[in-house]
Amino acid sequence: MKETRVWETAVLAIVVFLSIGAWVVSGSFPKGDSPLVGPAVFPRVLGVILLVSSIAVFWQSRREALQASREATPSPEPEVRFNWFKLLRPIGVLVLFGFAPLLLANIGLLATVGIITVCVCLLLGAKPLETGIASLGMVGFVYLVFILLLKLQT
Amino acid sequence: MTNLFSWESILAMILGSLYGALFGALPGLTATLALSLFIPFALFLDPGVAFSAIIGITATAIFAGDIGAVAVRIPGTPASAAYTEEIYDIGQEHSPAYALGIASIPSAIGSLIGVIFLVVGSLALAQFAKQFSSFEYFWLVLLGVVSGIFASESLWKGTISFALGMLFATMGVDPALGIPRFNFDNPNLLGGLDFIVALIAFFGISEVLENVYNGRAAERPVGLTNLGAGKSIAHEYFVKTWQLCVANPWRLIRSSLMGTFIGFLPGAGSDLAAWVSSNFARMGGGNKEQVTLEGTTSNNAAVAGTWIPALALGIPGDTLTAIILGMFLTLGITPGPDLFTKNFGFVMQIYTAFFLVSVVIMPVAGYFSALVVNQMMRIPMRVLLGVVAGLCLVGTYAINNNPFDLMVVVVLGAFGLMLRKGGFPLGQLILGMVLGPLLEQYMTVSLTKTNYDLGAFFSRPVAIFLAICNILLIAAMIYLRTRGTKKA
Repeated sequence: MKETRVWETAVLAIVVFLSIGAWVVSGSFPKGDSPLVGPAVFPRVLGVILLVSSIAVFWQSRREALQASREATPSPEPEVRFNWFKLLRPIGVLVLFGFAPLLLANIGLLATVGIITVCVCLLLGAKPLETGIASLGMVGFVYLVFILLLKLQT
Repeated sequence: MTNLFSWESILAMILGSLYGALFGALPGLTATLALSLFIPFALFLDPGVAFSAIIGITATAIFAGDIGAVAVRIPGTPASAAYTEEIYDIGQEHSPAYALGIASIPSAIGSLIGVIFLVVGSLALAQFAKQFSSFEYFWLVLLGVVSGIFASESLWKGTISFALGMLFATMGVDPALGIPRFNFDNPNLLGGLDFIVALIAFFGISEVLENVYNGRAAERPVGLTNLGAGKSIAHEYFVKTWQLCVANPWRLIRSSLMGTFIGFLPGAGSDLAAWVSSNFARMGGGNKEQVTLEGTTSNNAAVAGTWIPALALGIPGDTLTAIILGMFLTLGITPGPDLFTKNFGFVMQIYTAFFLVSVVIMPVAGYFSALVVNQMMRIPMRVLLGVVAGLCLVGTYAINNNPFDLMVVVVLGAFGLMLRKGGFPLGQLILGMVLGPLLEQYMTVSLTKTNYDLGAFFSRPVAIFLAICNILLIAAMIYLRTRGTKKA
């Protein structure tokens, strides 16, 4: 399957889940004096719009794919197939951020910023010297600007 | 509030301009990202100082998008894409300094004309809007929603992004009745999804993730060499460009007016302004310098244009003003006609900051920032992305001192990457987050005060006019899209 279509399908699945979820959860909200107002009305309207638009995008995308395969003409855009291995690095960055609250609680803001910058730089293939300069620069910047100047509580 | 002529404000404006220039110049780092990362920092500053820096960032980031186009034929921002080929060729055929001069000095002139219209337009609009009730505001916000959706490449994807933004904004408390919703008994969600946290996730983290995913971290750093091509850099940058401006006054005025008007339209912004103006120049047989001059003048004039509905009505013209409006609301400042009566001094500071940025900062600091940014473009992408990730972390934490926000950033950042790769516009999502609560509030207030009478939405002359504008806009956009599809 084409790369864009994989991402598109994944987004549509989440959107459908959110739209149904919005409709279901809104059912427990207090009712207004009229069916036109109340805390549930707007989320439910948005849920319907999201559901209809998702079906439309899915239908449009499927029709385009079918048309392309029927005509069998070379697409102006080269067909890029989905490469799951390319996801490893972004997932790595997200996992690092996921650990940040734990690090913050145990070693404080400055060390956390330093560690996250070092890890992200190394994950992106930066050289040790570059990584060292970048993380020291970040720690210095955060200390000077956020802690000394802006008095951020850490 | 700090005076604009204080050293803090002037320094903030200059540093903001340099910072904006760096983000605008580097392909992959955008003006939106620059602003998103700056907002958590700005919350700690005096509003006068913060807005001086913000105006510096927004104005120079658009100009600096041309630096990447001159250096490597890759526009730093989408607003520079309209004339990338031409400006790159000018840099090669004449000198990079001349190309950068065309990017800077006409930008300053465009921005200055835009500022004049900003002052006149916003004052007049704010005066007129004093008579508006919830009905007129409902239709105006709807106009912003409709034009925002139609501004996206895919109508359905734009609708999804807008509706998602609106749905995210429903978390917390119902704006009209004050009833809690979608907080899932989590005290961290009682106030809803923090707008700035969402901003960092969608424009900061997801930008880093996309660059990492696309393998841009491996790109080699590039900078301009031999800026003046053997001639005086200052002569090429200032004198030769000024001569070009003097020879083309009509083009400067036309593109400034066009840019301001397009910027004023909700959902349009600098990108569209640059395309329309440079295409006008091409159709009129303009040479490369003239095409670039019109494009670069127009996209900077549009920056001031987007502020007109934002200040006077509280309706953002593009993603950047949506972010700025979010900042206004976070600081407890409500944009709209009341801003002009209650905080007129602040409005004057914004006007003056725009004026200073146009007349002094953009041409002079633009010259120095081109030199500084040229050196900074040699920093490898893998290091820059690491630094941006670090800034996202500290920015997110600084807003509320709450580690929970970091978890929100992870979830929304991952979703932002999916939206980007699936072709769903993120700008519309942010516009939805700003306009959603307004739309719901005005709709509920209007219905409640008229005892749920839908006909009341068409009971006042201006409301009827705005309703017709909505219908005409929808009809015109559908017609244009259908015609475009048939032609294709």
